[in-house]
Amino acid sequence: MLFQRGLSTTARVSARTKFTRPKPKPPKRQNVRPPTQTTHHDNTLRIQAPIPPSAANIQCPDDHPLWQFFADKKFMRSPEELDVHSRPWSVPELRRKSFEDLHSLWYTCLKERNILARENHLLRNAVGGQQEFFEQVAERVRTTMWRIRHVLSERDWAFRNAQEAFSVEKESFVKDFEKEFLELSQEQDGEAFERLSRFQHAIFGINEFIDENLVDRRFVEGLKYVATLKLRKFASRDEELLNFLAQCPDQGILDVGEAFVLFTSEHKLESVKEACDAIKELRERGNYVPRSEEVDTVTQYIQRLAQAQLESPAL
Amino acid sequence: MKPTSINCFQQSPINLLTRPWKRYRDGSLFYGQSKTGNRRTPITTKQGNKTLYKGTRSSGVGRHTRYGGYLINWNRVRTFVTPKNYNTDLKPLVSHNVPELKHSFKGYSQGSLDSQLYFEKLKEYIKYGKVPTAASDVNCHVERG
Amino acid sequence: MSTGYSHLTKVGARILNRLNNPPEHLKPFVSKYTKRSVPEFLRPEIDEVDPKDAFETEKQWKYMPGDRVVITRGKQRGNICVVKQHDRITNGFILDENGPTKTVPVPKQFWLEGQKTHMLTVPVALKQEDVKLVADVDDPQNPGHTKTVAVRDVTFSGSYYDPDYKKMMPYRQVSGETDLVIPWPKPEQHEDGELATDAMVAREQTFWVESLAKNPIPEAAFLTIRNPHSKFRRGKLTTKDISKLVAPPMPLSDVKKARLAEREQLAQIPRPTLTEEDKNLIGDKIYEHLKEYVGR
Repeated sequence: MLFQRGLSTTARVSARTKFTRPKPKPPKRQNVRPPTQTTHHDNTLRIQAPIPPSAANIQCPDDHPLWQFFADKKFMRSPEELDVHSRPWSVPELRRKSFEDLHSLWYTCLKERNILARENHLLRNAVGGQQEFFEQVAERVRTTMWRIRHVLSERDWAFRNAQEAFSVEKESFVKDFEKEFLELSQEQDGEAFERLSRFQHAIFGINEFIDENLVDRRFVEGLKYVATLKLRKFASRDEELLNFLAQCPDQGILDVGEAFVLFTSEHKLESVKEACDAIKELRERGNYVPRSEEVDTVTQYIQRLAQAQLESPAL
Repeated sequence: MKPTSINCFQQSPINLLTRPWKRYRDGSLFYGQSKTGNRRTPITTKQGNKTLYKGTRSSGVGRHTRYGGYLINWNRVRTFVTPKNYNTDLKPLVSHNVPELKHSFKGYSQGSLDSQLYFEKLKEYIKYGKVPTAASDVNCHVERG
Repeated sequence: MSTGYSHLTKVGARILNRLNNPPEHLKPFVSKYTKRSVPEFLRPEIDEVDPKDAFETEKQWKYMPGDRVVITRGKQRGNICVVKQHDRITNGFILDENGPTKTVPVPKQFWLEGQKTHMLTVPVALKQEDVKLVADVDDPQNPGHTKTVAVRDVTFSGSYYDPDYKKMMPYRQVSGETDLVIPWPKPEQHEDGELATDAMVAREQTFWVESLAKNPIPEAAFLTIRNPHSKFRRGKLTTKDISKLVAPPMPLSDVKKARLAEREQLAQIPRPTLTEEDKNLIGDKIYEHLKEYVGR
């Protein structure tokens, strides 16, 4: 008898039945992940002779990211090596730099200030020595940094002010451009259309790269305006186009579908003529884009155009 | 009344060099203004005893999970955006041998924020494209803003 | 050696700055204490000036490094020296070896390279009043020759671009003789430093005003360019601001309190009303008076 002492039920409860039979061992797992860290529990430790501490024992790769906190991989620059004559960037100089350049410059300044702060801190607390020069240079770098932010902020305010004032100025601005654009002769066509391209980007936000465009009301207006301007440019050279322009209501292209055909045509007389023929065909068929659907329609056109360009990059 | 220390009136070289009332604890001489410093400044994260937690109001970038892990919310992590085309030619300072450029805003009442000036620049850009102005010459020291 | 971490943080910088401008009545005491506590070799010979009174422009300095000056006070009176350096702490001029010097003991930790003894001879700064400019001017007696003169004072007028200094400089004239211009000395030339951008790169233009339709700055950059919650930009006052701007009500003085109490008491006294009797009495009085007046 196993249970000499126990409750009256103990033997019955602990008796082995067919339901309490131990389960067979599970089969060995196949793809077991090896431990990511090995510890001394794995018995991998081996005793070896102590390594004497020395600088030669420390190996640091040349591209270690912490090298960015050192100038020329030196522990510390001497005050003579430090650049004490240079001045911070002035605001007018920074005004001439693009956003990307300013961003780069800000980043470079930040890195340099890290180096200087490290040297300054060590000179104050561990090494001892003249640290005022380091502080002065760091202060100059800081000046450059606030000036960068000042210039960016100023650029933004100037843009906003101009945008606000443009509603008044728009008419005369566009008139001036129109006059100069139409006055350019046939030989100067290349320059004229480069100007037009810059103008449409400046005023209507029509980008030369098709997929970067954002279609909105202004874009649609720009499309109509540029198409009309193009037609007027070539109408002075051809009788047929002049007649076509005269037939147009209000002496301009008012439908966005027509405008798109003209806009995408090449800057040549024949192409513009072809575009005009296509427009005539459209009119005969009574194809008009209602004003409420203009933006959506142009978005579709642009998407299709981008798709076509992707498929045939040679064109 | 305590007699004035005679050291205050002596001007001997040794007296000028060593000021017995100003020494560090390790015995080296102290030449600063004041050894006690100012005690009225707020303490920094590096001061205080082990129970002091001051922080930089920058922690808390995520939350703890029920299982002892930590989920980082990357929207709250401070990130430094690297410039897309890093122009390493630009250094933090400018050579002192280059004159400091000045901008003149004569005729534009709002200075650099003037909208007329903006239109003027835009007209020039439309007409001539990306043509550098006079200040691209190193010796230029003043130009229109 | 440890100086803490105050140079890495701005915490408490405002309060530390306040230490530099003690109240007006304590200024003599503070300056006396500083003078006494600064060791001899660190102490300037002439008084330090307030940072706000420190010279900045050429018009204030009057003499630039490289100018010749004559000393008009002290032991070296009459010596002609060259200005070596501006002393920005004292608004003074440090001159060459002909100028005043002092020999002071310097502790070993401050020794210069090659120094062998504790005693070091250092130049002493001179005040602007104690030097006069020396210049070569045309001699009217022997035409074609110049003579060296000391100039009592200089004045300034106009300005021109100086290619040596790389900036606009005023014309420096002899006081009272505006046609006698004394040119500025040539500044010392230095090589470009490590941190200096190349001149061509610095002046290269990469930004043009291109558009009225698209902002030249990406939207994501604005949070780091300016603070959108700045109190100078948000255009409204918080309760904290208002509590700072509005003065608290002044406590009443004893006299005022007494006066207010008296007024309250007076207000509580019932006012007499005019009865018919009173009206008759007044009427009678007026009638009496008028009768006497008209009768006369």
